[in-house]
Amino acid sequence: MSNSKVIALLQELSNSSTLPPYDEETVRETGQEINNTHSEIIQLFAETPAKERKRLGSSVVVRHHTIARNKRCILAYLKNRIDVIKQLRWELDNSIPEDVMQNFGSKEGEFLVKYDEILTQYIDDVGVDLCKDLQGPPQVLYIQARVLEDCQLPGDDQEEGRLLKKGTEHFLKRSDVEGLIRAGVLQHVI
Amino acid sequence: MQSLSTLSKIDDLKFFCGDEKITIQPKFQLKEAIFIGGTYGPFNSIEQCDVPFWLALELKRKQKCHIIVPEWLQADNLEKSYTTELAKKVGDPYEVLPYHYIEMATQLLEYASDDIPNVVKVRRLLEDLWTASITAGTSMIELNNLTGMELHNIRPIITQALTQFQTLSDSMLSQ
Amino acid sequence: MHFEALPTKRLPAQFTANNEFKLLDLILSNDIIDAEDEGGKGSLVQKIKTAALNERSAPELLEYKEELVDQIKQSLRSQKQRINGPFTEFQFEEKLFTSFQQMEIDRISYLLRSYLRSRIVKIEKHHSKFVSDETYHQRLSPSEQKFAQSYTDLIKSHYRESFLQSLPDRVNSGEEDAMTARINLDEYVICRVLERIGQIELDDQTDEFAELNENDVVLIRYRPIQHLLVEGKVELL
Repeated sequence: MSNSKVIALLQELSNSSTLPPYDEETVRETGQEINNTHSEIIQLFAETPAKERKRLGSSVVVRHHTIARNKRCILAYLKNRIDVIKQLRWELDNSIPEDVMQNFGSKEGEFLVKYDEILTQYIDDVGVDLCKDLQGPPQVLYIQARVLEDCQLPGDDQEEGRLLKKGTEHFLKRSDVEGLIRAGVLQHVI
Repeated sequence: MQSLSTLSKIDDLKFFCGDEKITIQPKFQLKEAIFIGGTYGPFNSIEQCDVPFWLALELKRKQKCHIIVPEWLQADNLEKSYTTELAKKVGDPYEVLPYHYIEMATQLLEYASDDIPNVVKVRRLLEDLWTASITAGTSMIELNNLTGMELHNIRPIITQALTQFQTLSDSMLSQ
Repeated sequence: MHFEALPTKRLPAQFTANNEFKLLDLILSNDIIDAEDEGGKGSLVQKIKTAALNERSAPELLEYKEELVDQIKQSLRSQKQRINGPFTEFQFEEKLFTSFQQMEIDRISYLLRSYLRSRIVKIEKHHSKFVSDETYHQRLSPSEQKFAQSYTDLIKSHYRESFLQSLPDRVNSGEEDAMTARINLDEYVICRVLERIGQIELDDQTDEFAELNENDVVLIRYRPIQHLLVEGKVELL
């Protein structure tokens, strides 16, 4: 019985702070074992004459439970992994590091692509960027900046950024204008 | 997906108290300002006006206003609240201070301490008050007459909740 | 809420470099003002805040607040357009207030995002329920319905292709549903009572009752206050 192997798999996942490599081998072996156990049940039935089948009771029940348990463990393994993958999509959008992606199973890679599709579709439908402020409420720092050359601020999901005229001063979100300050288009006043 | 289903954390509590109204004395002139949450003003140096707490803090940070200390944060009122808190027993209703009084007080002490008369005393009274309210409310709950199994059942819930509460209060005080 | 009266339409006629015209007078049109409105308790901001907190704390998904979400989005859009005009000649205070107005937009956007995100979290957690149970299905917005359906399909095909298809026919189905969390209406919640309610039944087995008065804050099972939440007589904290 590879039950202990499946449990070890779940323990590894729950103790790990990152996503461990997908264990295709154990998933496949457990599937194979379920098939074997299932064949045993069928064989038990086939070997036993109809009127004696009552005495099979416990051997069949135990095998059914083994199947159910193994199946449940693997599904829990799959589910907990895609929970992590979903979280990666929310937090990192499309910039999930290569070394994390390498630990995905082949189906998990497909899952991420499709999940990204349906989530992006929903976000487009509702017109609100849901992936902002995931860590908590906005605590935005504003700075006063002088405009050295005409320029346009970065926009957001709904609007174009506003136009700034040379020689004027504004209070602007620091995160919005860091690039413009580095480029020398804006000057940080206070 | 912990970060998505965020339960109320301290940052959120601080954020939510931002919508409470507070009175300021502006140090600038402006006829009025229209926000989604309402229209505020007129702002001038002779009239006081009410604005949301978050806006008051921003104006204060830019040195554009004095914040008028709310009554409950004045030393004599805090003293009264403290006396009531000490006298009350477990199960008595909590003292009627604003729902967000701790979050507001800590931010006022942080950003507008020069607007608070007797600030040292106020700070001390707040600490006393908070300690007293924890003591009255939660540092001990009687668990007489509970069986082993009953205790076992409630232990994780109660201990986690109270520990969380303690952590919350410690971090509020340390700020 | 009317969206037609954009400042950009009125601006050119009124706005000249020399007049005393002020940004904050310009934005003095009342299509975005969030006064204590006719329909309900409290302001728009208060409503989205309550909705976000209720949705965050309730163990089940609540009815989608379509009108509220639309109103909030509209207000955000109008206000953004107001403050994003190419204004350049204003006083220090006016520019300062533009940044404050932007901060308010950020604050309200956060509440809106929290609200919608809490819903998506619940839809994913109980996905098959929203596809199979008509009552719950009705509580979703059309976009959420689409999301719930696609998500359920995706999860099912992922389990199937990764594992279940390798199993014998008799045991390869059924448990996808078992892998979605049950909605537990007996979870405890912290709720504030908004108006006097009087006695409510806590448990029909034991005939336990509780008296709920205005401003009470109680730790209570969700089920007995479920209908009070829908009626807006209590809010969750």
